[in-house]
Order: sequence, then C-alpha cells, then structure tokens
Amino acid sequence: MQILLQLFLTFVFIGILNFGGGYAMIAFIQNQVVDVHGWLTLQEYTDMLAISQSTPGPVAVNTATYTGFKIGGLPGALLATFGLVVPAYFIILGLMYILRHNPDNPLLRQIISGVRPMVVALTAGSAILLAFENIGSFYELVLFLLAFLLLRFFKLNPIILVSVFGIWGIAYANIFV
Amino acid sequence: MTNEVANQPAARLWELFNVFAQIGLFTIGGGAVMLPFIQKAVVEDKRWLNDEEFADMLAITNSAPGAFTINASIYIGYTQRGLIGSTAAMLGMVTPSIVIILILAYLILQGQSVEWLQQFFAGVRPIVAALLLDAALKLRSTMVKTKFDVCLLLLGLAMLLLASINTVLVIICGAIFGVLYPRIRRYRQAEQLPKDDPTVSKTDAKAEKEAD
Repeated sequence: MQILLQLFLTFVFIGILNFGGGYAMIAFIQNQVVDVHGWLTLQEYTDMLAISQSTPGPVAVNTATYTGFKIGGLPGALLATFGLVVPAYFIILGLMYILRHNPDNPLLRQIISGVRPMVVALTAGSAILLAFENIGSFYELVLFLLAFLLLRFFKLNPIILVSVFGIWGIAYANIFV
Repeated sequence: MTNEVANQPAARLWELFNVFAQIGLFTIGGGAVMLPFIQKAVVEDKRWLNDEEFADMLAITNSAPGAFTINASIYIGYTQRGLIGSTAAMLGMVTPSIVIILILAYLILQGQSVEWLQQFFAGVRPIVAALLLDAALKLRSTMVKTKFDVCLLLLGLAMLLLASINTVLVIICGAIFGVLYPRIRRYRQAEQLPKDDPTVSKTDAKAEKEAD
C-alpha cells in the first residue's frame, strides 16, 4: 500500500516538473526511478527506454506504466500513469481559463505570437535531430525520402503510412536479411 | 466562421476517445512525433479547431509542463465537451500505450522475445523524421507569417541544433521576444517622430497660410 502511494506521488512530481516533454525528461525520470527509489536498475531503465521509443505513446507515459507494473502490478501501472497525468490537467485547464477570460489581453497575445514560431522551430528541430539519429544507411534514407514524397505530394494518411512501413520492416527483416 | 463552429454539434465522448486512441496507437517516440497525426485528425478531418485555434493550442500546450500529447488531448477535449471531454480524450490518448506496455512488460519480465516488434519499428523509424518535416512545413503557413516570425524560427532552430539548448528555454525566449518586439517598434517609431515634426509643422504652416 505504501509503495503504491510512493509510486503515485513520485509520478505526480515527475508530471509537475516534466518541462520540455519526452527527451528532456529522460535524465530526470532516471534520477527518480533508478537513483532515488531504486525501482529499476540502470540496465533495466535503458532497455525500457529502447522499448518506449519504439512503441506508441509518450515516453513518459510508457515509463510510468512499465515502472508501475514492475513494482506494483496492474494497480501500480495504473496509479503511476494516473499520477503523471494529474498535474497536466490542472495546468492546462488553468491556462485555458486564463486565455478564455482574457482573449484580447495584449500581453498574452504577444507571448503567444512569440511562442508560435518557436513551436515550428521545435518541430523542425526534432525532425532534423531524428533524421540524424535514425537515418544511418542508404536503405533508411530511401525509406525517409519515399515517406516524405508520399506525405507531401500524395497527402497519404500518416496512420496508413506507419502501418505499411512497419509491415515492410518485418517483411524486410525476414525475407531479405 | 463563428456561426459555422456554433452550428456544428459538439463531438461525442466516444468520438473524442476514439480519435485520440488512434493517435496514441500509431505514434512512436512521443512528443512532437504525434503533432502531424493530431493536426490531421483535429483540424483536417474533424474540424474541431481551425488553423488559428490549433496554433494557440500548440503555443499553450508546449509552454506547459507535461507530455505535449497529453496536454493537447486535455486541451482539445475541453474545447469540445468541457471537463468530461478532456477526460475522454486523455484516456483515449493513454489507453493504447498502457495496454501495449503492459503486454510487453509481461512478456519481457517472463523472458520472452519481442523481435518482431523491433522489426516493425525498424521500418517505421526512418519515416518519423519525414512525418515531422511534413508537419513543420504545414505549420509554417499559420504560425510563421511575418519577417519577425521567420527570425524567431531561425533563432529557435539555431538554439536547438547548434547549441542544444533546452526546449523550455527556447519557448521562454520566444515569449520574451514576443513581448519585447512591439515595445521596441513603438520606441523606434517614437524616436523617429521628432525628426518628422519639423515637416509636419511646415506643412501645417503652409496649410494655415493657404487657409488664410
């Protein structure tokens, strides 16, 4: 019981300080889960990260579910994930409330007008970083260019794109390698 | 435009759950990777938000702590059905990850191989960058309009890629420039005014003479 409460509170804490999203938080979650509480070994944490980054969903949510399950079974998994999400509720709804009640506040509009281009920079920046990280061979470069053409000029649905390329990945590994 | 939105029936709770569950199921790596999926579903398909509202949503959810995708689901759910709507959307977003991780955690803790999954994602990984690049190009039209916006975009990219500065600082930097820019411009205009004054008074004087 006590460990479940500790799991919940730890992930509430991570949820509050989880600034900058997924990648920025890897070190902070590691500190809490590996160093402070010793719930996972460093090796387990590294393996878990590899799984998180190759399975759907936000990395922080995957980490919470995995750690919670290992420590406290199904209730642990649900409590840890719930803990992670709770702070976001209060913060987002609070910000929305402020924006809705002051839609024409010049200071708010100025802040938003400055943040908007930065969001594009973040998106383009992650695209470039991911390209360097994940495109290591000619084969992968061909997959990247093909996907970009299909998206940009044929407006292919991203869900179909991911499914087709994933199934291709399994076929390639089992037939050609 | 407002009439159009007002006439549209609010999204059903099941619909909110379902749309975000699909987004949660098909996006690997989290964070910015989900952006193109959310954009397609929410702006292009369901028309829950228009381009401007989507841009506001991105600015706010990226400035707040927490996973961007969770924040986005809470925000978008709230615009449709209030508190219940944001809960439905958020649950939709996390349910696929929870189920998949639970199954994998079970298999891994039992010592079983999950090689086929790694093969699936080996095919997906190179295209994630393509998805993001496409999303950035789509966002550019609504979020980068003026020369000032272009400067900020380039500054942000330089901070991220050349100096690997934390994303939070990049956002804060954008907010600061957003607040300062109109003030600097006003100050510079005010500085230019005195130079214009003599001409103004001359023309005024001429106007007065002519009136005489």
